[in-house]
Amino acid sequence: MCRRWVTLLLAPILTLATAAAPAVSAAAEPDPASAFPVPAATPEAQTVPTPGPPSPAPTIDPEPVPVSEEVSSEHSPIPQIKFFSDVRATYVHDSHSGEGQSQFSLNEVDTLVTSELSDKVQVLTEVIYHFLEDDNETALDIERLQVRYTLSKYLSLCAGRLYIPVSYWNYNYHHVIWFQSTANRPEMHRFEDDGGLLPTHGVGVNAVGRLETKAADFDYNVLVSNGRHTDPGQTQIIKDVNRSKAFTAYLMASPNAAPGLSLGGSVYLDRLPNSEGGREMHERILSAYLAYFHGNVEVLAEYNGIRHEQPETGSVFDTKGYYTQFAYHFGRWRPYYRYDRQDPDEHDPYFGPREDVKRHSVGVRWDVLNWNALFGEYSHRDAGAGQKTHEFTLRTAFTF
Amino acid sequence: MKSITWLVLIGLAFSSTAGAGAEFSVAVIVNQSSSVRDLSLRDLEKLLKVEKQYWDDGKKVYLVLQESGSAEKEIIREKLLHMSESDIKKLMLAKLFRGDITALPKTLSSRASVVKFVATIPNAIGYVEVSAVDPSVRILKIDGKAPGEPGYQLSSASP
Repeated sequence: MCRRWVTLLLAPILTLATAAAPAVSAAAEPDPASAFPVPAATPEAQTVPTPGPPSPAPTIDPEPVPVSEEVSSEHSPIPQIKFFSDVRATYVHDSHSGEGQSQFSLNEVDTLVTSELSDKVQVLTEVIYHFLEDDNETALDIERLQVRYTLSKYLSLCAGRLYIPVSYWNYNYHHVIWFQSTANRPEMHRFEDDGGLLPTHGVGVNAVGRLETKAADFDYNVLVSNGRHTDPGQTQIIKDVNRSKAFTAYLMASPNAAPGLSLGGSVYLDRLPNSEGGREMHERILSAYLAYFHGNVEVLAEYNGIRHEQPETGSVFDTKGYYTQFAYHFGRWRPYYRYDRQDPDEHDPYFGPREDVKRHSVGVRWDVLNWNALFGEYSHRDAGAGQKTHEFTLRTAFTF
Repeated sequence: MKSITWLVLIGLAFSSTAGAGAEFSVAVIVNQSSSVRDLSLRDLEKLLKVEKQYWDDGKKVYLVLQESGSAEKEIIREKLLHMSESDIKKLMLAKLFRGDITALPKTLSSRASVVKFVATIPNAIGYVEVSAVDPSVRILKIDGKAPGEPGYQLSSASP
């Protein structure tokens, strides 16, 4: 079944790649997108500069240049680069032991590079520089590396290391705190290598597109990827240890009658490789979300249910997580509240023992500048068995 | 002291009357070759939020924006997008980050530049103050109304 999917998805990519090749070299035909080229690594040249003094320097665009002057026989891709990062201070007070711990942490530097190879072929890479907790050594992760072929307004195909759209949070915010309204992520939506339970990265191919109707607009994403590793904390980047591929289908609807509202969900199917050579467990992840961002109001709610089924014994292990978040904008201030829950099945052999967490968080985001936000958050975390903590976070997140 | 107060009040009354009279309308413009004549307000919102990236005939939309602080942008932001400037920037960067768009929309600093860009690029759309429009581009009706007509939404006089 999955092999057929891979074949079906790969065939058009290869066909398009062949077809797109002359388009890249034959740039003698004016490309409207490149009529006003954007200098590399100066995104402010395109975005709207801020009037405030500390924000990135405003760029005065030169008078438009006639298209003919921009036409070159050698179309050379011009990458755009964006950086995102943050620094935080935390204080955690353990109610059980009565002890507290404060610390400063430098978060990762997220580097996003995009480039248009032609009007229909684009590449994107996201590289993270971060520090390893154990020895403070610097590490580098290629979070995404993808090439996208735009076939029509309804269909694009991507290949590479991609986000798996099983989590609204990860799909929309991923590593970038600056995109979030809150200082921290919901428990369930931590990354795989940080104890998270959802698969967030996958190597494979996907088909994405948008269908616009009078009633609503629909965005879809269908992905075939390598699937889970024997270790839930790892992504299978170079090879797949089992024969089955993971299949993800995601659909989002935005009703025209309610601007700002989107509803969606996804299904993820995989077979988990068994390191001991036994039969593979079946995995099914169902997700649903509701997002409303309109005017000053923000509402976000998401549910994720992970089911593991052991075919030999018929045993079923259900893990679920959900959160609800509200925020309201008062100018540049955005107070918020979130309740989030992670409810794992303690007998699940794939995950092993995981914390059963309930957490309430209140805080405020303050957009000091258009490119810099400060967060202050208090959170009460209850991990069961008397493990209760009070956590205070101050965070500054920025992009440049 | 009383006379000074009266003078200030009269001055304020005059300035508010003058302000109310100066209606400012934003014209949405496309290339003369475009077959589009009318847009719904909702479709315009989707175009400016880069949610809608293709014209109905399947051609890619080339969106050109104006810099922050321009009177046009303020009208668009308040009457149509209902978003703060920082949220607009966040929205655009988030789209770039997700790979929904491959380049941020072009931003130009002057009205003349916007008009010239739209006049040059066949699938472009932009917005400028109505008096800055020249015959090289076409003004679109929004929800069936042209700038200056009663009920035109992208105007300082609209509710």
